Amino acid sequence: MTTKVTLTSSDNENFSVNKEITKRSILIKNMLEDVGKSDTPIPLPNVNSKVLRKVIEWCEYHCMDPLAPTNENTENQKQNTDIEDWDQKFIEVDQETLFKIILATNYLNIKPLLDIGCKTITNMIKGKSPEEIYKTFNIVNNFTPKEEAQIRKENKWAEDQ
Amino acid sequence: MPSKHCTKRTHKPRPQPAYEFALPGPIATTNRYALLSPESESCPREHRRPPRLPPEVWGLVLSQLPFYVLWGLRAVCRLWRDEIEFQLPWRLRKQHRIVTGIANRSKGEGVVTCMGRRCDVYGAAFLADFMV
Repeated sequence: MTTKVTLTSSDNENFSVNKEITKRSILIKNMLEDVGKSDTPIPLPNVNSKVLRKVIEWCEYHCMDPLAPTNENTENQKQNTDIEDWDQKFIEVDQETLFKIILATNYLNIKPLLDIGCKTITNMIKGKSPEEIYKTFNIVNNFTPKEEAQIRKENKWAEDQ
Repeated sequence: MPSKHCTKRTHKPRPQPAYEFALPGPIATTNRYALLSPESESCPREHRRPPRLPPEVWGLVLSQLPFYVLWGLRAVCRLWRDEIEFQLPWRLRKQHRIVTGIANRSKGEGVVTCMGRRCDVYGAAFLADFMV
């Protein structure tokens, strides 16, 4: 019989999850180790129910993945922005939810999901002009004309390559 | 005879604080970011960081971009320029080592030769993106 753990979201919704699945989160894993019993609900004040549901969905799908990859692997994965098909579909959410998932995984310390979120942002940035980035992230260009001219001058070498 | 500088001191017990620490509960985590709530004062406000991410996550995003993309992104806004320029010395050092093959040369400056081309370190780092 698998042990269940209750997670409570910031909006007080309870989620009953298999203990093994919650171990994807280093934060919850450490909490469970410190507390020693799993019948007390674990409050997660920084994660709302919508985001927590998504995070649990990801953890359930990836429950068979090996825990905690080594540093060597993560070093090799750097600059490789490929995302697996399932994860790609999973992360196809509006930008607000995407940022909330990233913040939640950072808080819950789930590195593989954090990497997926960061790669998604990276892919949103890649190949876009500054003007396209303004639109994508709702950014206002606050350079003075002088600063803009300076940047353009400094960027010339990269355009020439 | 005791020196005039050496006077006997009596160690008074330190006064006990008149308050008690009232922590909300045991801190049961080793994740140093776990206690950094997105709403806390120490976390950058949404409007201060362009894609509304804390600096450590933003650093992860930038680390996955090739140098020439990163360089171009300096043109987005002041915040992006400042944060990307903060990242560049590390990238330059790493890529400079790749290009020159000299592990001990850590300064990201000077002229180097890359694939038979003479180029400055920025150019070398640019080419290094295609070599990594």
